[in-house]
Amino acid sequence: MGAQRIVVGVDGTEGGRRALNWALREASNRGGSVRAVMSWRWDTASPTQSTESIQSEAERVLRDEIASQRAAVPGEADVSVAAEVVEGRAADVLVRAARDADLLVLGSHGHNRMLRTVLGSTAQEVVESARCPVVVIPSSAR
Amino acid sequence: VNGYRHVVVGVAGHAGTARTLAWAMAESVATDAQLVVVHALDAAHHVDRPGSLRLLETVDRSAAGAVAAARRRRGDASVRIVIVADSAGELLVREAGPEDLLVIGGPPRAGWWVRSGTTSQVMTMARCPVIVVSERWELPVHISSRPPAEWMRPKIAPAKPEEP
Repeated sequence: MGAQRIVVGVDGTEGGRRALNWALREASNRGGSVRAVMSWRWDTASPTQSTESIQSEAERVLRDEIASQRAAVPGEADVSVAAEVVEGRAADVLVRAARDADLLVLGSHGHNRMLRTVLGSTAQEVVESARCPVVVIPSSAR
Repeated sequence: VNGYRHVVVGVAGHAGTARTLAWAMAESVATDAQLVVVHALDAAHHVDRPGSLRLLETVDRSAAGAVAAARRRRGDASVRIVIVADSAGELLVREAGPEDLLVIGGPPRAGWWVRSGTTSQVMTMARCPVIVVSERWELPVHISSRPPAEWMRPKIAPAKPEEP
């Protein structure tokens, strides 16, 4: 389907790793590029942390996640990956980042009767707001 | 490589379905996967021939036209039809295995209210990646709302008249 601009949400969880892995494979297979996006918020950070330290810690986590998933994907050398850490609500940050994207990729958080809680309110909100197709990678996906 | 055995797509007979089906068809061609077109009927229906193109014509004429064109081009086995009286979410989750890709439309909107029951159920319970195609998404030029162009071409090109 031609070169794709893929935005992927990475949050340091297993779901984010699966999403990043899927995005890298898709970009490698189709000749696209990946933009890995991580968000952070004031109300989830420790009160003793400065803005700079939160930002740099998030950037380190994102770099590590990209490096480990790139190592797992054949043909990764061909895939252009941009990393971006943004302050804000995850759903807002991802929807904004994917405004001009072809695909937005997210991981889900497993199975449970309480669908909305387990899928994650972020994924739910993104699906309702995004303008591009959204890929949700379940916990049991390859 | 993100290759799939089947691309399973849910169709529902409304305008948004054409967009979802177009995405799924393009993906099935790109990955050489069988396309499985799934339509859930409410429990009151009795279904005699759950996989027939004729039944699909009665519930979703547009999808039936696209499927017929795809079968003409790629063969009958390239597209499978599943029409069952069941919950849409449960049917889609059951039809898509771990090696498949599931394509569904975005949650329908009624004013400010988003009814996301089936979408949530599928995204949470699916065993494979799920692609949710928003109705607000603008089809890129490489994906038509009709079946891919190569499916519409005749299998055997007419012979060119000889030069005098």
